[in-house]
Amino acid sequence: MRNRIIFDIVLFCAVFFTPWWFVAALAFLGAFFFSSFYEIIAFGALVDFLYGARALAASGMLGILGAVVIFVLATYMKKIVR
Amino acid sequence: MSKKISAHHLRQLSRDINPDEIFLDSKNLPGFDKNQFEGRIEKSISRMSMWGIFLFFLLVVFVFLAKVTSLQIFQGTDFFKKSENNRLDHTPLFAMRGVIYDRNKVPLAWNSFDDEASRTALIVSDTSSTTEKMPFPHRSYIAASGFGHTLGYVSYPKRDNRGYYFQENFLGKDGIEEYYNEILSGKNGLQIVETDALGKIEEGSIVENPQNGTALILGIDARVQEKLHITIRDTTNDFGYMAGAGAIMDIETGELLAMTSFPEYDSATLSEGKNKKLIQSYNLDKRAVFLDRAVSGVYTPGSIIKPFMAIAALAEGVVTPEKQILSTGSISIQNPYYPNIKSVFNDWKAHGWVDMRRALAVSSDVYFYEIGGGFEGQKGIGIANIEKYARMFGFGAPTGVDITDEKLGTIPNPAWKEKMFGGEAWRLGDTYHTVIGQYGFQVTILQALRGVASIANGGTLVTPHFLKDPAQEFTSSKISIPSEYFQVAREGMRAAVIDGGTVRGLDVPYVAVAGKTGTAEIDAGKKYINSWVVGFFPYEKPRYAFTVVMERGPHANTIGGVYIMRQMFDWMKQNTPEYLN
Repeated sequence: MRNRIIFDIVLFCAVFFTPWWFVAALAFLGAFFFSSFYEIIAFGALVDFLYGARALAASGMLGILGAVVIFVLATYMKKIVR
Repeated sequence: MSKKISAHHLRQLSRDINPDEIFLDSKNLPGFDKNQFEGRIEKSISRMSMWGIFLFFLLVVFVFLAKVTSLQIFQGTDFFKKSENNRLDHTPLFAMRGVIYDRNKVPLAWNSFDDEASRTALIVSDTSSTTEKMPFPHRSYIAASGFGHTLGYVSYPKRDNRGYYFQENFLGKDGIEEYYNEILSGKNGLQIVETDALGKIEEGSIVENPQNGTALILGIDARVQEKLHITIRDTTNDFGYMAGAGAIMDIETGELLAMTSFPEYDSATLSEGKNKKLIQSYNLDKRAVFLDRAVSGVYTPGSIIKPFMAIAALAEGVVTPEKQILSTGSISIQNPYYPNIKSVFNDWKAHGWVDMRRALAVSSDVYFYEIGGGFEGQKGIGIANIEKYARMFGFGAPTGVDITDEKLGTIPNPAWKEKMFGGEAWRLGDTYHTVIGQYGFQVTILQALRGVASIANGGTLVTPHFLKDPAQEFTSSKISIPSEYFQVAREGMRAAVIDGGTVRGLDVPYVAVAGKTGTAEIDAGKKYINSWVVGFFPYEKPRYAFTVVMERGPHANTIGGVYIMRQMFDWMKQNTPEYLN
């Protein structure tokens, strides 16, 4: 649990200070290594609230959509590599 | 006015757009850092984004609050109880295991420490405590050989990698360590250490001091035991035997002066469990290193059974001590299936006319065939009485020695044969073989020792034991046979030593010994024998009985049990004369 909380804090900071692809990779790692990593959805929403705009693709909801995709993908991979 | 605007608007619409006006912008010629919002259109943050971020943080706060509520309110009582148990770490304070001494207070098994600091910390005092480096002492054993099976070994307290002891006591695993484990163990104390949530020690206190185990003084003499073992070991190696064992016992009290078995294991090696190679060699050794032959080994007794059968024959009145029986080297009886064929039962030698004392001295088989099974005019006691008297002398039953895993042995009888040989009937020849200690007869060394002691002391069946102090009551029982019959057996055994009998090797000037040998053939091919000697000393006023058996030696070998006891007597004359007087 302690590791998870530390990881969440790192991910939170990454949202503000690192490029989107780094945040995406970090989120994928989190979803892969921690069980039921639902925080990823909240972080996706945060990204959209901070950087999203209606003018962008998917009406600025790429963050939350990407988070869902990463969550599903990581869950699937965990199953097949188990 | 509206006309002007309309015209201007139309001009705007009709104006050509040059390609460079569009494509140059897309090239980002000024080199804007778009990640830093340069060259981007500024737009005020939407209200929805502000609310979204606010809701995100609200969500985080809500999650934390929900968790705190769950921990404090819904599960608070349970966690409080758990923390009450967790904060006090119960650490055992190990009781010092009792030291084992021989009769002269020579330590045989004791507690040892890595260093003086560990000794100070572990030995009980007001400041005694456990140490992380050495939480309990090691068990050390006398370096001399011959004590492995007698003392046994221990299993140390065990803990998991988090320091929790799932076995808090030393466990005796064999020998004295196992039998007297409860007395030796004492009772562990308890130290309570208070730790905080992170496992940091806040304070510690002893709530219960350990109660050290009781020291034991055994009746054995370490010097005699070591010498007996070395003699058996050397004889085994030099004369082609596989193994051997022996014991010497006080005939009045049953106190064992020595008891040893070869081959043996090293008690310290098994207790520490670190020398895996040596332990594996014990396991793979075909000689069965872990078998305590003195207690758990069963052997065909051969002729050592004859003194008991002689007393039985006297008690049954089938013969007098003076009656002479002719041994021509064999007797023949008619074969029940083939009347023309006679079954021949050989003596090991033609002894001529022998009375009971002489028959014991020279170990005449024919004499005992006749008083056991009957022959022509001589009445025999029969297999039922053979079994009855064998049991009266303690064969076929545990002796009650204070070592575990004692075996019973076998006394053959018709029911036993029927069971073992698919319903075959008992024959006279079976009685002949049984009365000289062959066939299916099997006894332990301690049974033989106790039986011989009863002959020496006039019919008291004592309980062999090691423990001398603290004194415990070991039972004894009286064999209801007139004592004069025992005297005849004693005289026969003495004649075996001094009158050209089979035990003449023990005819020494410094102590009067009485004895009886036994040579048991142990395989169908008659290639191997077990060599026995039993007896007691001093003859005039017996104090000690002895038994030695050498296992699986070559048939032609004349060196065996007698040779070992001769070595022992010569050594005892020089080193422990107090036992010979």
